[in-house]
Amino acid sequence: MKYSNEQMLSMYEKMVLSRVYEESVIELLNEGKIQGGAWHLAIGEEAAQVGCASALGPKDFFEPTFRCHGLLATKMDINKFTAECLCKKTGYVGGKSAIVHMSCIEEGILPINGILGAGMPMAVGYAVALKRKKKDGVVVAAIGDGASNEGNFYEAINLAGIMEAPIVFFIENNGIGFTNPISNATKAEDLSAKGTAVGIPGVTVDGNDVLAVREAVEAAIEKARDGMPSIVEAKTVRLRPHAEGLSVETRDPKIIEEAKKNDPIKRYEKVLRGLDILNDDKVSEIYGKMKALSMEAFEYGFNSPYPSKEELCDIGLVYKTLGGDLA
Amino acid sequence: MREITYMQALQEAHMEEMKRDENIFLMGIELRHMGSGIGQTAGLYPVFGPDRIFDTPISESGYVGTAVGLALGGVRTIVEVQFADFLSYAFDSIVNQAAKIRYLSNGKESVPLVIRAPQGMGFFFGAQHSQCVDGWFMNAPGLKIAIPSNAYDAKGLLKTAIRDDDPVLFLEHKACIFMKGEVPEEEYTVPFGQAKIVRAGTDVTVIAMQKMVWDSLEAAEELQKEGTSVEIIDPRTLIPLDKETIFKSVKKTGRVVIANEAPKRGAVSGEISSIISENCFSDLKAPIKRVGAANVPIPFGANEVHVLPNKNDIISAIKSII
Repeated sequence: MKYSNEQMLSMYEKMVLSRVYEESVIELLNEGKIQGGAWHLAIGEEAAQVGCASALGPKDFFEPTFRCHGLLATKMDINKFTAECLCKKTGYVGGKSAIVHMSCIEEGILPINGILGAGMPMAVGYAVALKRKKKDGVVVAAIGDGASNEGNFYEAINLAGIMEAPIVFFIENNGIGFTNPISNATKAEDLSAKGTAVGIPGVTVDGNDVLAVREAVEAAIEKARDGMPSIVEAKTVRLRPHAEGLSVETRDPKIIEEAKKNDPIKRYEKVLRGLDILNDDKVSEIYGKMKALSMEAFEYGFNSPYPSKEELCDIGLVYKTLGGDLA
Repeated sequence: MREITYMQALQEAHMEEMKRDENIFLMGIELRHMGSGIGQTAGLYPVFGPDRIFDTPISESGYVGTAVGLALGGVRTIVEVQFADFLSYAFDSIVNQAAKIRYLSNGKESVPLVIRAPQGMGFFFGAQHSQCVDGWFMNAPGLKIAIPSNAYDAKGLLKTAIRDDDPVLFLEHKACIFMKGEVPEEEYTVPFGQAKIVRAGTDVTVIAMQKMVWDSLEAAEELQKEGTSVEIIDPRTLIPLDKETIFKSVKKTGRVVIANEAPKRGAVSGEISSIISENCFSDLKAPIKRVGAANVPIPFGANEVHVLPNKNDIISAIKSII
């Protein structure tokens, strides 16, 4: 096996935390403790997300989509992340962004975007900036299958090619955009083939196989370090509606039932049991630990104050170079 | 003092700033062979080469977005859009991305970016190459907007824009770009948020922008013969706006005409008019008048004169309140 037992277990723990964190969101919504709307959950997509994020090195940058709560709970400070999701002052960006526009560049998280596709050219620019400043890092920019229809995506992959940007475009293809199945959105079979049109390579992998995803993204990152951008598409299935409390499930229930049989966490669990990395006790221990972590994070968020009007209207947070009447 | 054109002033500002700071990166369409759409960056490529100057494909949304990412990554970036009309393609990158990153990062990040684009009449190129677009961007917190009318301000404001740590939309003007003006050899900058009193007067204040400044000057000369003394103010930057200079003038004259070349409905003039009404209502002796284009698209060629504002419109507006 390419990865150490420790690495293998770490990926599993992240997938479980990701799942449990998002299941906690559903629970808290049902109890009326949090409000719906912006909770775009990625339950079912943990292998794609954790596989991709695990491929990044310490100097690399990740541009997430906003369907990334669980993953970011594993990647960032879970308390500060949760507080931001709840728009609290103690959040990563003082409660101004929730997950939708969050960033923490010092921790390698580039701005998440509420305008689908708009982050792609910016990610290319950030990657070129790393190259110009001779920093040894790459950018992995995540996008959904739906947003990959945006003009900005095509313009970005083209610009990445000619600018020899150290970037990987990671398409998390969950087969659906809001309620619109991918077959209604494009005639393309493999979205990685979109790179062909602009002369950059692409590869499609089973997005429910965490090891396959990680290996593909690692290979793409190596190419990116040499100024060869590429696309990795991970095909997976979203098990929840578009956004909790905002939309309903419109798919045939059979599709969801079928997809649950290929649950990426159960699948990976089997692999790890086969390698004697996991057993029943260890599994329940991990689930228990992740549940506690998640609930503590929400408690931290609930107990945190909202930012004040003064903090939210501070013109010094809008402009860096002050002078003249900017208010 | 020596006289150079507005365009030469822009070339000099680029040249001097890029020599001063090697972290400045310039990108846009046709920079290498054409020295920009009109020639604003002519002479730069042989000096700085492909490492500092990047010729983009025809891809405004993508390459302006890329410029935002570069600036976020600490590269002081100047990005040119060939005609300001094409900013519609780059609108999201400017308004939703560049302008908001600082706030959304809680003040941790900044975007030292200049988006340069020539706007306005002057080339007779019709509805998609002649618009004055400053009003499109007035409603975007986080952005600064510079609108030089002459060579001196073009150079001084561009240098300030390049050194600013926030995104600046720098709108050149096509009818002003071949005009000559006095520009000193020595180094200077023009600060943002300081309007210029282009002509002192006592009877009426004309707040004029870019080509309208020049039309207002002609109008003022004609009206002087009839005994009307016109004060002309060039705001030079719209965000920040120098309200104090405007208020002082309004308190003196009590009469205001605002001349901006965009279609009158929703133009910058309306915003300036409101600010004056809110702050100087008791000083006003007459209604504030706006001069602007007709609310129709700009027809191609010489037909544009029937739609766009000119000196005569400014004279009529002044006469209507004197």
